[in-house]
Amino acid sequence: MAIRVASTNRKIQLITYTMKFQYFSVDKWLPKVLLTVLLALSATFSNAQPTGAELYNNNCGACHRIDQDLVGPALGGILERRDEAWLIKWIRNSQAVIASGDQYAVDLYNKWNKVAMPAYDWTDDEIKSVLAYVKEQEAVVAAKAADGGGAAGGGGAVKPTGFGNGPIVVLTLIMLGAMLLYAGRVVSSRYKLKGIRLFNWNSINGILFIVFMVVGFALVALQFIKYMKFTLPVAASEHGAIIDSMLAITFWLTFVVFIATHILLFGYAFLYRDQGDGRKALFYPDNHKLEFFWTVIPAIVLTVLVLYGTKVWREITQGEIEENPVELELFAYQFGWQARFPGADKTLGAHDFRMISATNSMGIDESDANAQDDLLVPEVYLPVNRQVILRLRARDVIHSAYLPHFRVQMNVVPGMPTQFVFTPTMTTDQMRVTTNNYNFNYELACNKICGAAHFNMRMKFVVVTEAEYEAWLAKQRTYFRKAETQTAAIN
Amino acid sequence: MSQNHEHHHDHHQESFISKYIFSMDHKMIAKQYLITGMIMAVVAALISLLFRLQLGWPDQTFPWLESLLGDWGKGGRLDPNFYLALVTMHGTLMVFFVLTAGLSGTFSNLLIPFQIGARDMASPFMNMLSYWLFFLSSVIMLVSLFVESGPAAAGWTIYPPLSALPQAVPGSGLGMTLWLVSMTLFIASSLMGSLNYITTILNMRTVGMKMTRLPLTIWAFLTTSILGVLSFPVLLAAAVLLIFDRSFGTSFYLSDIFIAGEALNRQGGSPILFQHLFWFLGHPEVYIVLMPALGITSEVVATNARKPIFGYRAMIGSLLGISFLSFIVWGHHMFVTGMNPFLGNVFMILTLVIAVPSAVKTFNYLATLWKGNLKFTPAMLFAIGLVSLFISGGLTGIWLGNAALDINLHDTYFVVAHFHLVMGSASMFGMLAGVYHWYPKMFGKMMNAKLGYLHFWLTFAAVYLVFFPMHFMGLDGVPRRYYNFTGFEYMSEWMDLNRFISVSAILGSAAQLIFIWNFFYSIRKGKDAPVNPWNSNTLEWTTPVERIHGNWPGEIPHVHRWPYDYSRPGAPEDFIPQTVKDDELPEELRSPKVKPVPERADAPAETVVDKVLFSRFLNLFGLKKA
Repeated sequence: MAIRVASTNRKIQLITYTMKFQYFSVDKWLPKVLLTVLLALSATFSNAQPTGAELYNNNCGACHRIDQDLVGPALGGILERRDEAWLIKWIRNSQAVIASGDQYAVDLYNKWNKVAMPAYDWTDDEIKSVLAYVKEQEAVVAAKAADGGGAAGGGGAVKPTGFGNGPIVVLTLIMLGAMLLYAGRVVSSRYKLKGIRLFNWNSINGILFIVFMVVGFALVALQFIKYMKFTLPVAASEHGAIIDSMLAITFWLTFVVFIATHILLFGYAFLYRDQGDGRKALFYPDNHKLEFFWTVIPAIVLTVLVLYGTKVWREITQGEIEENPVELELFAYQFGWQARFPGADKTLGAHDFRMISATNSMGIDESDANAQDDLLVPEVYLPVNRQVILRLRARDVIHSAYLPHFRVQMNVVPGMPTQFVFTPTMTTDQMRVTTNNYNFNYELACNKICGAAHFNMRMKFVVVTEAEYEAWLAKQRTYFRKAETQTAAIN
Repeated sequence: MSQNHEHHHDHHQESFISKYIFSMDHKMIAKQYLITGMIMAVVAALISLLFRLQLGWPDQTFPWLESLLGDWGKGGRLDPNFYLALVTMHGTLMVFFVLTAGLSGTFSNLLIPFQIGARDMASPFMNMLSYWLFFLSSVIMLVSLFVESGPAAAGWTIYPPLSALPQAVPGSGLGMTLWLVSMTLFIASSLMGSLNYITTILNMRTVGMKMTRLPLTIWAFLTTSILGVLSFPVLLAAAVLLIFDRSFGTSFYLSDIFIAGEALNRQGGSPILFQHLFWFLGHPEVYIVLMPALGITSEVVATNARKPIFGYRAMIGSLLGISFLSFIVWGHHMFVTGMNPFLGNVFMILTLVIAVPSAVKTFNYLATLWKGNLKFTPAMLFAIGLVSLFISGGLTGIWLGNAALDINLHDTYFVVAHFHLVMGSASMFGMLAGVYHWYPKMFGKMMNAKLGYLHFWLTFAAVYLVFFPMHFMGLDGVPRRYYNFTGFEYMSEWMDLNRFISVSAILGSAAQLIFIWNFFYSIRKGKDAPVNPWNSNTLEWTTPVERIHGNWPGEIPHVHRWPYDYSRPGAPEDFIPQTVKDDELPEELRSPKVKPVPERADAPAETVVDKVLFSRFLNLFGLKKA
């Protein structure tokens, strides 16, 4: 198990080193370099205008599916149900449509448990691109369904969806087992008549323990090889590296104990099985010295672990706030996230849950001067190697902000603001190279049960260089629309 | 009703109702707990299969789901709300109804009077009441599966505000109300049971049964009951406050909430308060579930290894240590809830301390097996299985108890793997070991051993195949209680493994049918049990095979030694029952002289108060005593 490298600089060195090492096999490094360049280029030249797919996945996807009702209705066939003009009105501000007395809207609202759909201040083009994406996905889903039925039904009959041929395999196995059992019974009863006990079950059970252990250890080894995940995923934050080295120590310690105790347990079960030879067990009720040692040794080992653990925990939770950190607010609701950056004043505006409305989904105090330049962002960009203060706030129930690659988790509690401080050390592009996965993205997940679409609360995090971050920040919209024109003018 | 049965044990005519239904006989109540627990276990297991189906095959439709579940399975797919409800009910049923009442209720009732040498519980009436409250609470919990808005769906930990607001999840409507009512009755039942167990153990031991001569099962039941008495009332308090928040507009747990289009007029409460109250029970609860299983294991391992349990006093000491420590570690469930990080330090230190007595127990089990003469009865197999699961699940506790590591592991599949191994499966193995071991005592028949072996090996394999791979998912950051994993890029790679786990779970559950068949078949058709089938030392094996009220036909036997005199060198056999007097043994085997214990009269099985209470109770239903 590799202990993760502590600082980014060394990590970058490591990456370049790997590249140098592979210098002579062009086919290995060239695609990586090309892809890195491409990714960098695409990041620079990509249109700031989000596509329909992006808008859908970052927003609508939290509560809607194409072919299945979730928090809101399935969106498949929506354009047949409602016309485009109505949909644009609805998406912009569903509460206003309901308030206008539109019967369809009122019924919809009541049917779906009076869960208000958030308002999206998208342009007509943006909404149309989302609707086009929905239409596209309808076709994809329909094709998938047809494909599933068709491919399986090669023999003519349409195979129902389900387990495939699993049940047949299982049934066959059970029948085979029953036949074996029956055969064994017949054979052993023959021998029983002759006065011979064919099976010594006590021995068989003892031997099975050894077999179980050997097969079990082999399977454990196989899993380690297959998943290579006996540490956490690649750490992309400063404290992540410390956590990982502590995890490595804990892993090896417990793993050795796990193997040793199981060898003893199953080994004894095998060695000391009663074999019907009249052996007597050893009368051995006590040994104070032995007990003393196996009380004190675990106690010492655990003390060391605890001291190390408390040190790391203090560093993570009570560490110093560095100069010029990036501060942002994550706002969790059923079912999604919103993110707010302070504007040029570097101060987040005040908020109050009573101010939440369809057009002010985070309840920001419009009268607060600090709030005027606050930015509402569709996804979070962070500069690499700068400390980040996540301020966490919930609208309805408890959620949990979980970013496993940054080793970040903190519950988001209504009525009790929480926070987490960390420093990302790997840009998204670096992670793509390191993990050898060019689709890699940091994703924020909810990790506290919060209702129907708990599993679907996503937000993309992107770590970029300082310059890219500043460029991205400059393009973001302000939270309050009236300030938008000003920013536009400045830009 | 039987009365005055100390010296003449002729059977009194018992009516069907007083014998099988409102029975005050501890043996019958034990069976009632066991059967109810088994029914709840079957329901909880079927529930888990339903959601494993969803996790294993998220893209497939199962049309029969719609016929089975109606709107909850529309189009052959599990509804996400109902998925959460199933997860909640699986946890609730398993933790409370199967592993608390089903395990502790069954074996405390069966073994406490038997093993300490008493005719019945201190208060047989309260014992009966305890079972019937439990029964009522089980019925209410099962009924909640059928209400229109679905059963409770906020997780078995029912954190508010999710559990407090019906707007947040449909399960928090009537389903949650029923959950709370059911749990209130359950807590009352558990308190009555626990008080009864403690009183009986402390007051009604037979002559010569000193505390240091108690079998470890009884010690485990005693510490378990003390934990229950001290911690369940705190859950009751939490539940009552939650009922107030839900129904009477208070804000103990609620503050600053905007939901379903309105800002709630609830200010000043804290959801974290609930978590503190919940885990003040919740953590001892883990040991309430586990300790009886460990007690049963101690007894089963010693008997079948034909060796004294190694370090009897250390075993008692570690039980007491675990009990004490379990009250001051609850905060390790809350490292990332936003609790003051200073408390994180404190709870981390205390949590890792609790690993020491657990380690001592493990090593003592290993030492007991060492140079034994192991008889692999099905009970012994399950007991050894328990030790293995206790090790595998316990070690990951060292990871999770470490606050810094918990940041990434909290609420992931790593936690699911951890507690299903150490608490769920290990306790279940203890329960199964107990059933196989004491079945002859309960029903006077033997279970089929070969079916028992098959049951064990299939179950043991399935448990590891289901729960071990979950560690890897958890390390990779896959959260628990997710309806599916297709949304996140990094989670989707676990699809195949999820399917594998689901298949293993289905096969493992199917293996339980072997046990159920064996259990019910043997009641009628099993071989007749001898008086002491396992050549055990403890007192329950001195009672006749057939059930009699008052347990012993004549006087209650006196106890002359500890329960673990197995394979003493020089003894004629490899066991010396607790009732054997020293002067029946060769000189060198006599226990060191102790002060003679003053003789005293047997405690009556039924107190006067009980008799009066019981006749009033029957009158209430218009049932006169037979």
